[in-house]
Amino acid sequence: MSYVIRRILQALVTLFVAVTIAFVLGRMSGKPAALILTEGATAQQIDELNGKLGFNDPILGQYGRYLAGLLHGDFGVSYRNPGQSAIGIILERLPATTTLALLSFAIGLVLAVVAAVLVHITGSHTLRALFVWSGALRSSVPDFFFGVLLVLIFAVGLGWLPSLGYTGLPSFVLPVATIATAQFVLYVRLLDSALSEQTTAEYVRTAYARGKSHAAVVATEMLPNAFLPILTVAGLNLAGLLGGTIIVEQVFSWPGMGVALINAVSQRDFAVVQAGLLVVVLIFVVVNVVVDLLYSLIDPRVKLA
Amino acid sequence: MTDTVAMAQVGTAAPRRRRLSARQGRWLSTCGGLIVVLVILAIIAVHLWPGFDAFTQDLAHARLGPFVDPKHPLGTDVVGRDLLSRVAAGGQTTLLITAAIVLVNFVVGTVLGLLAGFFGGWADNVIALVTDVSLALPAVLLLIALSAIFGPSALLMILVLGFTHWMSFARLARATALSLRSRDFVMAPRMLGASSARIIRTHILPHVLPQMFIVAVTSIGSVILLQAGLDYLGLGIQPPDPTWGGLVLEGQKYMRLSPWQVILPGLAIFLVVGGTTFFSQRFTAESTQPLRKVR
Amino acid sequence: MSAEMIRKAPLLEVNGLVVTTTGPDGETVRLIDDVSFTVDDGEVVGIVGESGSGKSLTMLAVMGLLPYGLEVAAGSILWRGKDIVGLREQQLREIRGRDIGMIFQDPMTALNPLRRIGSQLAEAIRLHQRVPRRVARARVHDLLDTVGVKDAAKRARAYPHEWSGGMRQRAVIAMAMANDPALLIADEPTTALDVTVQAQVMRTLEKARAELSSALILITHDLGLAAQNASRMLIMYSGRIVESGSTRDIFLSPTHPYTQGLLKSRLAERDERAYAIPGNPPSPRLRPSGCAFAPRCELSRGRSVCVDARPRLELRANGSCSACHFAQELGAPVAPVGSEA
Repeated sequence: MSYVIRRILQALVTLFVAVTIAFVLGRMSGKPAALILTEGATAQQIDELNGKLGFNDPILGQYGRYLAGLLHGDFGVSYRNPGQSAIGIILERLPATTTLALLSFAIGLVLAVVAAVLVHITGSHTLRALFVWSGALRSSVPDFFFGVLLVLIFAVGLGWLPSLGYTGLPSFVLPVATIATAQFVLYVRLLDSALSEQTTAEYVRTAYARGKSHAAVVATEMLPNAFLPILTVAGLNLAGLLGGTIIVEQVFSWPGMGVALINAVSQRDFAVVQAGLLVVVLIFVVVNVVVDLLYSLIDPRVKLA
Repeated sequence: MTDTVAMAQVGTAAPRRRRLSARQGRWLSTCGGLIVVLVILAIIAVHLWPGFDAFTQDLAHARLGPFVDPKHPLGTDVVGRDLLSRVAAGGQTTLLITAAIVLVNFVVGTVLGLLAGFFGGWADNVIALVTDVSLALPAVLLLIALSAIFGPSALLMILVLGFTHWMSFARLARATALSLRSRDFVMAPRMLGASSARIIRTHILPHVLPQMFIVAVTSIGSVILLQAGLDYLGLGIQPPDPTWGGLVLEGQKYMRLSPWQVILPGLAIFLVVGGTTFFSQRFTAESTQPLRKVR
Repeated sequence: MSAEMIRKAPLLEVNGLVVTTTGPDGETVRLIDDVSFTVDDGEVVGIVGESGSGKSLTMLAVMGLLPYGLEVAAGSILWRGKDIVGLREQQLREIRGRDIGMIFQDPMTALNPLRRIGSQLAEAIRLHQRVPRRVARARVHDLLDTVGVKDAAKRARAYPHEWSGGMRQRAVIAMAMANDPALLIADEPTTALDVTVQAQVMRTLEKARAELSSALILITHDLGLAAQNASRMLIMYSGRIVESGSTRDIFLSPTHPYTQGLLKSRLAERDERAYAIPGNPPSPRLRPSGCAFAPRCELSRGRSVCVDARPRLELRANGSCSACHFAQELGAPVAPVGSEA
């Protein structure tokens, strides 16, 4: 139990640090009145508005109010669109991002497992070389260009799939393909290596000695053991992915958090940027904790106590 | 069992293997390096050659494909600008920025690593902490945040990305400093009263530099990808200065009308990143167990 | 013809086994260099040798479990008269675990850490017998009982890291027994265990063997262990058999200088003196062309026949076989009768 508590405490501390950094950065960006008011506003008007919004108060006071607001889920209002809450703008975009991230992650990972297991069952160096080479090629192409190429070929060229938007299942194909291929390349290499490490393990030899077939040994004895260290990497990756589909969203005009963030940046709407960053960090931390706990559930050698 | 494994290790090479022999691997690595050098030379050539202009619009000759017009070897974009010039100019910017970023990483990493390794103790611990924080901090997000405050700029990108890859340099520098600090040729000047800074500079640094070069080359691909991605998002160099990432962003808008406009800069990125990756593979030893075939 | 003259075919017969691998320069290296022996039903045979003598590899060859890069280059392995070298994997699988049960050295790593012990044992059964899970589980409990694990039903649900080394080795023995094999092969079964536990495990092993009436090949570097449990012994050195015979004969009157050296060092250990055969065994790549032991042999004294000609196994006066040009010059017995009890 204390391990769980420790992990949660650690997560809270990280969140607190992130929140504080966001506050500091926010205050560094200056007071928002100048952005909110139209041009031609006098310095006095600007100062007045800033005072009303609370930006002229002593810094600690602002910090306290900020923290209190966060606990109530109040992330402030958008600088550009004072009518909307900053967090609202972010949250309404969340589902698009999470579905994209989770789907791509799952497909990439599952296919990688199948591929790595196949390589080891068949013992085919050719198959392994195929994955290594195509992996090297895919890794040398930036995600955004890969996405653009897919659009060029399948949307513009062949017309099979839509080139942008969040309009139903076909519109998922190209964005997911872009991310999933990168995920696949990453995991296939890790899994192949992890499985290779298990090949010389004693328990593997014992399994052969009791008459188990090679395919069964790879899939049911080696794979679970090989997968454990991958789990940590996968978790970190997923956490990063949930916050980082920005580039692919931009390529496909995917209405996710990333697009909202970029727009907020170009509009200098720091309240929204702040809200978005905090959500990303929150997701990152939560996913990491979940993965850690998952690990201790799967590996009987790790005790929670 | 252990002696059995030891006996098995007597034979490491396996005949009739269709694996890449060392020679083929070296050939591949040289090819990669060659491609990168060619791209760089092309960029320089275009820069020096008069008559190649990345900005002049010429609607009469717009949307030409490659190898059609000898005046525009790689074609023109949707408003008639020469693509070879644009991609070359983009390459110049991108590669120079990349060099700057790698340089910052190198300097930061080497200094921190040498300090940590040479002095040990609390310096080592502090730097280890900084490393952990660096690893946890997502550079893209930080850059987004800072861009929102200060506005996007090249300098900002160089500074932020300069702290994304320093760890590899630091690790190496630290290890080298650690192993060398108790050797005679380091101890001697110390006892004669030479300052630590001087010792590190004259005696330890020369040993570290050759391997640093390899680390630097290995990091180039990753830095370019990161940087191009940020340019694509509009967070780095701003138009009208061309960068490869920026050119792809711009080209995507006119993809249907003028596809080469978006393909060429992306291709350029692929060639350079792929080239450096294959080139540096020669120096990173990584081998997996051969696979067991079952009859 | 009297009954005694009709000899039953041996259970396992190895003839001229040669196992090779490829060295770093592409040359062929012989890890097992022409080894022949037989094992009859119900026999206990000890194979004794130092690290690198090839004793474990011989058994792996029998099971068809040679590591990557090694292959059987020559010779035959006859199981109940049928050659199993070159058999298809599918057929070998039927032998493994059903006809031959193998017990490996390190119980700490011999079991999959992510699976329950009971499940792994049950699998050993269900791989060869079509029985429902319930039945397999019951059999697993019986097996664990036999090897001395109390409260088997409950304890079988544990994971390997929850059991001690000695108990894990017993589980491995139970796994080897699961399908009533005709032959058990134990490769250094007690080497990785505490001294206090070693005797227990050997007793369990003997009990298992007796219950199955199976043959047992005991592979070890410990001459005494082999002597205590085996009726016949093979001494291996550098991939070759240098002496073979009954335990008693080998101890009372060794017919090979290497065996003699082993006995001497064992005696010295007991008396808390130090004696080691000078030198080290040759690496398989650099095995001398004549007698492999010659460089270290006190008996040889550098005589040219030892350097030039590889000695063949020859029958000696006491019934043992040994490969030595000058076996007849070996002196008085090293150990008096009864000192090895």
